[in-house]
Amino acid sequence: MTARVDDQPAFILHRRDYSNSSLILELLTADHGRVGVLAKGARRRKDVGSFQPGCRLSVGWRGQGELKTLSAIESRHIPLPPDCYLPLFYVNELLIALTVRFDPLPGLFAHYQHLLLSFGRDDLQTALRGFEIELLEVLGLMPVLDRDRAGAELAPQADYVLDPAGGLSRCAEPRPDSAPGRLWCSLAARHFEVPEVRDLARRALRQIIDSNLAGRELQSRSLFLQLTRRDR
Amino acid sequence: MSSSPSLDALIDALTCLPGVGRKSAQRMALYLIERNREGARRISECLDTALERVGQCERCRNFSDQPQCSICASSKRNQRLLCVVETPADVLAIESAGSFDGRYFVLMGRLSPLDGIGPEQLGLDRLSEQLEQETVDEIILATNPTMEGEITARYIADLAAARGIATSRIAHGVPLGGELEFVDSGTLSQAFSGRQTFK
Repeated sequence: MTARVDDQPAFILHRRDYSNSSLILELLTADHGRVGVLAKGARRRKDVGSFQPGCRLSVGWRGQGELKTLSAIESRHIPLPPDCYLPLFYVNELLIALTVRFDPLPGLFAHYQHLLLSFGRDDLQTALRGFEIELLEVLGLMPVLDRDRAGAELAPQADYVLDPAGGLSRCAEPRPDSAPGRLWCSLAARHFEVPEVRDLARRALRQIIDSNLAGRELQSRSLFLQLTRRDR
Repeated sequence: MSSSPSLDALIDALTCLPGVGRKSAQRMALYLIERNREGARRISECLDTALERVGQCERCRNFSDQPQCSICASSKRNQRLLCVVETPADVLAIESAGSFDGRYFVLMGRLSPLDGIGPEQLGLDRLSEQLEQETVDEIILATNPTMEGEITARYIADLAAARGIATSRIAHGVPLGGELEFVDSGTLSQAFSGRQTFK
């Protein structure tokens, strides 16, 4: 673990109060992946209000332990539409659940930044599914979706079921959890504009994510579902 | 370590207070034992009484000696105007401002999925029951202007909307007597997006 880092671009994933005036920040950084830092006296700062999840920072830290001590911080407020707060919590909780600290995970920072910029501009579900795929790919957890587990091309009309660890297998009869090969290929090509593909993406990605959470339930997803069900 | 285990225990106990480290705890303990034993006795008695008597108001969840707190039981307060806040400290702050004459609902926190705090922990099922059973004309959402506070406000606004109850959100922005050049960018953009017609 690097003892001293300066001028590192970062996003806040989570903040927690610590003692009277400090914060513990969980950050997603450009070169060091997820990093936990202790920001001493941060709650006394005039701009502490902007240290919210999704806030873009430039940070420096020092220390040998797992929790670093923040040595410099500059924030840049990116206003997000209030409708995107809960989806952002979901994404942040997912990132914290699936990643470990100090795994650099190249490319993830750029995907996260792209997601924040698409909030309020693009379709929310499309943006979320796109990020989930990017995250799983960066982590090496995304199964191949345009070939079966033996590496053969999918037959467009035949039905396939997903095993998150192994990939797609052909099934003789359609099942509640199966989908035709053409839809799996469309999902692999990210044609989220097709409603059937969007539904399949939600179902399949949830299955893959849940299989990697080892029984842990994502609180923000439950809350998000409660709110959206009431809105209907 | 002193020559008295009781004094050591008192110093240890005082460090549980926020902002009190070992050195401050030692100063407090020595002051109480050396110079103000009467004050120490009063603190001890008040602590005992408070621990025994202070519970939560069954209506608003604020701290209270009685099953219903003085605000919920008062006929002088507008019981149809409900202000939702995060903590008892928020109630004290609003009461000291003296501009609100309704009643409160104290969440004792805010929705924070990453910390495992959901609607059940905040007593939102109880709030929902109250909205069903009692007449409420307006809910004022006074949760903090953080993301968690906004999600909490949105959740409660949805509960109210399902029952046809009007909701409002307290304003956020530039402090009174403040100067724009010293206000941070987030607060300033919030002040602009929440601007009001000037009459």
